[in-house]
Amino acid sequence: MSNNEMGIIIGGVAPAIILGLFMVFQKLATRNGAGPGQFLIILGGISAVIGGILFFAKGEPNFPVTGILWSILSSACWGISMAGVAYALFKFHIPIGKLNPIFNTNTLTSVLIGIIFLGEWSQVEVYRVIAGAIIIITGAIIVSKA
Amino acid sequence: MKDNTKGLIIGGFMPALMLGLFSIFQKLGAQQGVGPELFIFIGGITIAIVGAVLAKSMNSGKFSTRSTIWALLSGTCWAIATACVSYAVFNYNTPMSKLSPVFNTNTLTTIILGMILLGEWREMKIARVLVGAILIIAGAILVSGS
Repeated sequence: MSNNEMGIIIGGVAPAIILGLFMVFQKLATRNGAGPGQFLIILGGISAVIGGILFFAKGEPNFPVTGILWSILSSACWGISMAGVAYALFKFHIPIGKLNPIFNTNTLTSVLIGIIFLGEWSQVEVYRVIAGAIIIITGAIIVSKA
Repeated sequence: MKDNTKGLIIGGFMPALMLGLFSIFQKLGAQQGVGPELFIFIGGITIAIVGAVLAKSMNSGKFSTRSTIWALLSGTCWAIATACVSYAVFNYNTPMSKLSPVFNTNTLTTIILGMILLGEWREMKIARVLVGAILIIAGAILVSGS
């Protein structure tokens, strides 16, 4: 199997399935009374524990400072996004069905920024990726309104 | 600004931008030497901090054994999925503009799992799920083959 295929399977297909489970468990946590703040604390905590054990068990841990700063920024974006969704749901009572189609377009944000600013145009067929992303978003919106 | 507009910005447009940036910054971190273990370690700590701020600023539900267990399972899935994405970028240099559309097909997994595990098929429009699913899969094939 080529590196490209391995990358797509490990970094695309596997997370698609596991993130589906993530959302089902999130729903169950919320149904059983977990608030958004509590949920993020537990999610962050378990992730830090798993990551910490694996990272320090490898031996000779190194700390690339620039990379760590990007990683903090990255996960802060994720956490703040989740907080934003929760805030809109609880404080402004916007139905999730209205928010979902909007934040689902985030794929397009990463595709466009990746292609334009990270120079990924040389690694992908630009029109195919953009067309595919739009088709996926359309499908996701239809499915989430079912 | 109307509450409805505020809610759509905070819970829709802001996450659409920031969830996209999450993937971009994740890649920048990987390019600067942050592997999957370190990423979910740092990410976990950052997200737990965001969660703590959120819990302080709004009513965060009650800690119960059940909600905690589901949140732990959900967090574990998030950590594994996120580590998979980092692994593919870190080891195979797979472009994020390919990975992001593919792992964003997780909406379909969530719907299918919800139908099977949570019995949600009773309240869903199956025809819409099928149309959406076909679009999502077609888009993913288009992107990953590019």
